[in-house]
Amino acid sequence: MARIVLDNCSYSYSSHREDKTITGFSLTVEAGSFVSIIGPNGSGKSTLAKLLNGIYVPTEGSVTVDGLDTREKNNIGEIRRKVAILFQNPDNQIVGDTVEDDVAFGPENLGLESDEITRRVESSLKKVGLFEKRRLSPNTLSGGEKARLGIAGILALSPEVLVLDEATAMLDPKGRKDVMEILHNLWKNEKKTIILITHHPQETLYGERIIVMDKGRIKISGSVEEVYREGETLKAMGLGLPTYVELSLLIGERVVFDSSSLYSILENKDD
Amino acid sequence: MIRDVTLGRYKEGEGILYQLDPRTKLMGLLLYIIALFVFKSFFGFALTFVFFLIVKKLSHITLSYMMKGLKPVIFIVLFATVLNIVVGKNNWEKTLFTLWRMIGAVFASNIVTLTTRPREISDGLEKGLSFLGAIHFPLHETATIISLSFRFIPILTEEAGRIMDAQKSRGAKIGEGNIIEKAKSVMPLIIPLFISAFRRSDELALAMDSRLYGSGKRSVWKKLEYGVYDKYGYIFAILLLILTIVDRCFL
Repeated sequence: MARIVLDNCSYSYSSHREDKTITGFSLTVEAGSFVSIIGPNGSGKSTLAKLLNGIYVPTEGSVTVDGLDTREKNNIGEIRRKVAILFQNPDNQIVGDTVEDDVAFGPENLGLESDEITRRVESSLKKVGLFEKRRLSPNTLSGGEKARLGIAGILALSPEVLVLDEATAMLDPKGRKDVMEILHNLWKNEKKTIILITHHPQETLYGERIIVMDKGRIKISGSVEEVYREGETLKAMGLGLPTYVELSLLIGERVVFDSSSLYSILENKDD
Repeated sequence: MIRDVTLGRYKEGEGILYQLDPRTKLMGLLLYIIALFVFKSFFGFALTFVFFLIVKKLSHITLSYMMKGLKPVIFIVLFATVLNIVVGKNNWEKTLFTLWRMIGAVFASNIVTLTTRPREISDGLEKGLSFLGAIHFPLHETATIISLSFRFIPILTEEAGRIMDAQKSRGAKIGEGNIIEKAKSVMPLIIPLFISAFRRSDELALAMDSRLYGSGKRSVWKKLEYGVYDKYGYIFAILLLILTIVDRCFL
């Protein structure tokens, strides 16, 4: 199982290395964990996501996946097999003419045999609930279904880590809930590592750990409960809070989380 | 009008044309366009016209749908026709032939793209032109570019429509006035569309990279296979070309 380690990692888009988007970032994502990353716009969340599977290479420090350094070109294929990433706009990631063709794109790139591709396509589509729509054009799907198709597309690569870079940002509450439930299932039942970058605080409750980023650095890090106890700090940063936390702050109560029952609360909520 | 672009749009359907292998359709299209520019008399004109009617019938695509596809190029077609009459001083017969050559080529291309999925077109090109691999032509990459271009035509036309509505709501007068004003007025449409297209292509490239595109030897999930109708398709198209050559050389 893949363990991701960022060691004093910095990244700069410009040639002036002092102008950094990510600065001295150290983080270990343990295999099988569910980490949510939140932060204001421009805090470096998306850049961080692209560092995790070698799309970007750190200008200083290192990123390793199971000990494989992203700076080594020979490691990139293996790293991308382990760490799959899904971006915000599903329309910009769909390459197939039909739902099943799109899911098959990754396995085809792996050079797999037709039988194995069929098995992976069917299995991935069943996991996201799109098997019945496999022969349709992706253009006929709703936004939420397109996001689920994106998840199926990366699941067909059999990754160990799924990174979602604001993949629910363009969805309605129902679409977001569907995607989050799929992710929760993949985490709980298939032991996948989930790294969720989001602007929706409610979604962080599906996970177990939250990293709050600001200006390319970690501002707060801890369990869901620990981070939301800093509710006032988060609000000062312009970040939203889950309704439950907002209410606790409003009535002046200390935020108390019963982690085991959080998911059951979410199951009964649309937003 | 911008939403009327039918080139590159696949239309779900069940005609015999849908069952043909993409290689047959692409070769048929090539031979048909050659035939359109080879014929010289009414016999050849009638042949290509009847061929078109038969193919249209087999595709189950309506004429009104195809006329929508003609709208974006109607100006070019009319301009070329007027030029033919005024500058070329051609008689009505030659003008009719020129007009049909342009319309026939647009209609035929539209029928192929409407009945063939972009992926099938790229697979057909890749397999049909596989002999180019011997000179290290980047065939797969070219086919992928073509396939993705077709996939993004409807997305970008929708986007252009949305940008146009947004700019109009802010007072832009797109497509109004004389020809110079019309040309100037499309700038508020073109610039955001280009920016959006570049953003989309950037994200697409990242997504393809992340899904290991280009990381090694690819396999093909669904291999192309000729069906029962393909040999008739080839015979039909080759026969048309031979008859138009006869028309040009001997009639």
